[in-house]
Amino acid sequence: MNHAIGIDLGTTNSLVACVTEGKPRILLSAEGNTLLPSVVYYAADGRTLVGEQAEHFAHQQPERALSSVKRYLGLSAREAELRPLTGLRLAKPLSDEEAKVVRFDLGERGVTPVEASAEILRALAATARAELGVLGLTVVTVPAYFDDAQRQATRDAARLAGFESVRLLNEPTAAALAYGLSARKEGLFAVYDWGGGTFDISILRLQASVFQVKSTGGDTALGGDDIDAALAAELLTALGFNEESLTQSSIRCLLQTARSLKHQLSLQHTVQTRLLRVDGTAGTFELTRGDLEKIVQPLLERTGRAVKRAFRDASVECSDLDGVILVGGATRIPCVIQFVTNLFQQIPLQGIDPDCVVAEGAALQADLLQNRGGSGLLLDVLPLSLGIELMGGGVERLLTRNAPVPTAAHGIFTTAADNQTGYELHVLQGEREMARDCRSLAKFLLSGIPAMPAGRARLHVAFCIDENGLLTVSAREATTDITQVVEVQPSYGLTREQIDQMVAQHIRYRSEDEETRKLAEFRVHGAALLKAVSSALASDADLLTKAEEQEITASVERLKSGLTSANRSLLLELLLHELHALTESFNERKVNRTIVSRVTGQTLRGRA
Amino acid sequence: MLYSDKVIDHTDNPRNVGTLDVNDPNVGTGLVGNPACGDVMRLQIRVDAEGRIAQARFKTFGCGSAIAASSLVTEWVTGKSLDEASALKNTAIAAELNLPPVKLHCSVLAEQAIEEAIEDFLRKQASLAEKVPAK
Amino acid sequence: MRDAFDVLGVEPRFGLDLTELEAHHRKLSAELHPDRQSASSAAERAAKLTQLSEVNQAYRSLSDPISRAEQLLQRRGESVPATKTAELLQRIFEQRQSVENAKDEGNACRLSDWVTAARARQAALASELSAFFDGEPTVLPVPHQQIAPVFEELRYLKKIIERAERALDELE
Repeated sequence: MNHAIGIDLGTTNSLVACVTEGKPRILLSAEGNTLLPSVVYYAADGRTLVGEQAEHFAHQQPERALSSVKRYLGLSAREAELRPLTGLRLAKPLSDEEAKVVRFDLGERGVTPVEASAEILRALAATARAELGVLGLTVVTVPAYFDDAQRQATRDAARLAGFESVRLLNEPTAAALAYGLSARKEGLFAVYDWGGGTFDISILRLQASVFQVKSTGGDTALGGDDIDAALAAELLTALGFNEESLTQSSIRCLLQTARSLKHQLSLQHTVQTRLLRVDGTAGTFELTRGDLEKIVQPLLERTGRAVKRAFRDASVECSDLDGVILVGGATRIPCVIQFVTNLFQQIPLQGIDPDCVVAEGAALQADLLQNRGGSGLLLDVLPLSLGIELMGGGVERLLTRNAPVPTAAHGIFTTAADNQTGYELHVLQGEREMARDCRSLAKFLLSGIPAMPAGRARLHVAFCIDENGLLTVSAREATTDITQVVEVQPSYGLTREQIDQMVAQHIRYRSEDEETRKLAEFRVHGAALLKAVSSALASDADLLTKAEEQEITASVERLKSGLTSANRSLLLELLLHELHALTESFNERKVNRTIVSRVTGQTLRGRA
Repeated sequence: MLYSDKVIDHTDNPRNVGTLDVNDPNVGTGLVGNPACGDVMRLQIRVDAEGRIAQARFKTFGCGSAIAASSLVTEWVTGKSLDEASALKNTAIAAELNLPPVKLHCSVLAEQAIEEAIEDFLRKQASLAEKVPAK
Repeated sequence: MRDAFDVLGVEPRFGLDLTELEAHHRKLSAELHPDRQSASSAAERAAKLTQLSEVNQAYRSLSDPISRAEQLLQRRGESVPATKTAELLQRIFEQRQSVENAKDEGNACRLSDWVTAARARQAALASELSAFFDGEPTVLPVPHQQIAPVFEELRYLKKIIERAERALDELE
């Protein structure tokens, strides 16, 4: 029996879960953790590491690692430039075709967010397979506020990762599922979901195992990462640095420091750290919970506005709510919990670990869909309005946000000029007045209008949304009955052919035989190096400082552990590299000592 | 200029937005609306002694195409005689091959506004004539 | 010919209990949703999907007072009367003007106040429709003079409120 699984593909961390005996549980990674850091390390030949392993080497070579790529899924190169401080180097597109998709610059090539996300998904799949065997239906979660392009990109990543049967699920709905079905509650719930990269608010009604989404809202560019960036910016100012003058690796380092400080402040009231100022001097910096609150407050205000809009759209007030669910690591921050309590006028539910709740919900949904004929049900809505561009640049909305899906709508239009022979149809997504401020989904032409004075022709446009939120647009010229039907593929850039190409490339990089050979090779090297280093430490450890010895010992342990458990040749290779680098100078000193001890007291024959 | 450029230009920089004095006997005001899309448009014309439209002003609240249409109209209309203005059609505007669609009724809103403004002017003139004692 | 009321199985009244409407929608959706159709054939599933789409469209239609009233008129074999009231146009024009001014000045307070007042007016007009449709049995044909202006004003108001709320969103 194929095992259904649920995956939370998060900005900062990802998880995979399954349902056993009716209860969801998170599957542990090889390192024994529930959370897999959403970090991917790339070697020049395309081999990768994911998770803690990647994080470790990302520290040393930040230009070879990618993190928080979820924030870039579905974006074009131009849109990506508008993101705040993330320390990721973006490739400059060389053509309009290239500019359709953002790529990260790794030096020898560019990597799309879809490829990077596929690596994370593959790692999660491996974890699941190791424990469960053959995988069945997979549910992958996305922020409720993700638009068509972002959803399509997520689907592409899953396809690239080799998943055959994938369903997308909105994260807030997954969280509500985890609380609703396991706690057997009924009523109206708000899900306040603040993760690393996005903020989502959803208002849901649960009754008789049926979830009805009343409204959704949020900000796909507002997350814990933004807190880190704001905190890092403050540190930069305090240290006297200019953002432009920093290298990418310094920025990553600073962001990591900021994140660690932020985490500590959830447990302590003050925290201290030593950092180097621009003039080279070191200084101790103290940060209090109050300082963090000042930074978080404006971001919290933004979430508050999205929440109020969601209330308006759902025609409810906070007194109507039976519960507020908190999701996402950022909701651990004390001032955030306080803010949420005030905003909703009630203490939020926190019974399930906010980091795990989405994955658990996804697993429940996967299990329901595959095994139980779906006894629980989700009635989802359109997250954003859909319309077409009108003459003059305005937008005629045919479907408004929060309309339950599947659904349909139509409109009748006409020509602007005498003897106009064709229409240019531009399908848009968004809430703004003008087409240029909305997201472009598709453009197509309908020609063949018979010559007529302006305003006489009749154009019937129909929008049809299926249960997955996929849009089909049909346009019919009424006189001739000429019709054009377009299934909207988001114009964010990766085509079917490009994905197929990536799948083929991946197969080339990952030849099984090659991998087995390399693994064996590195095991032999590793064992030899360990032997040499251990013996050198035994006899000449006095040549090292205490700090150096500690570093080398730690690296030795990592290599030892890698030799027993590593199944990726890249990991062994990098660990070997690391130990070599750390012991290079040690080796030199040892050689010197040997020479000196040999020649001391001896005369050099034949030289004056 | 391509037609589409011209219309976008008129949306971004609408000409002749404003107000003429409603009480001026030489000013005709047309106020029309399309409830389906919530557009309301007011078009005013000032007619000179020769019966030509010396000035045209409009104020529109509504979709971009209505704004563009009215802006184009006032430009086209200024300097025309009442008869010529009455015969307003989109023939003056060169047709592009493929254009974005227009909402029904919006395309004719500008024409209706012109008609009303002319009628209003003529009505005013007629009642003034009544007041002038016959000589 | 089934209309929205038939599709959702609710009584054709103007004054609908929205919670009840929501419950009808939920019940029908649960029966028709593809996630609940694992036992059916592909053809049955496709048919149910079309029906579900109809249910969602009907729900949307009945949730909006204006389209709800239009549906009720259609049931009587009547269409929405057309009208053009100069006085109303003038009023709407001025209201649009004041919303635009408030928006340009960035005056969220005034916009917000205007929206509250406009919604109150909407509610008052809706009660007129309610009295008309749900009141004592009407034997007479639709008194056009009576409800035509109500429809007209409701439509204009809906658009201006949308505009004002969008402006408020952008100002925040």
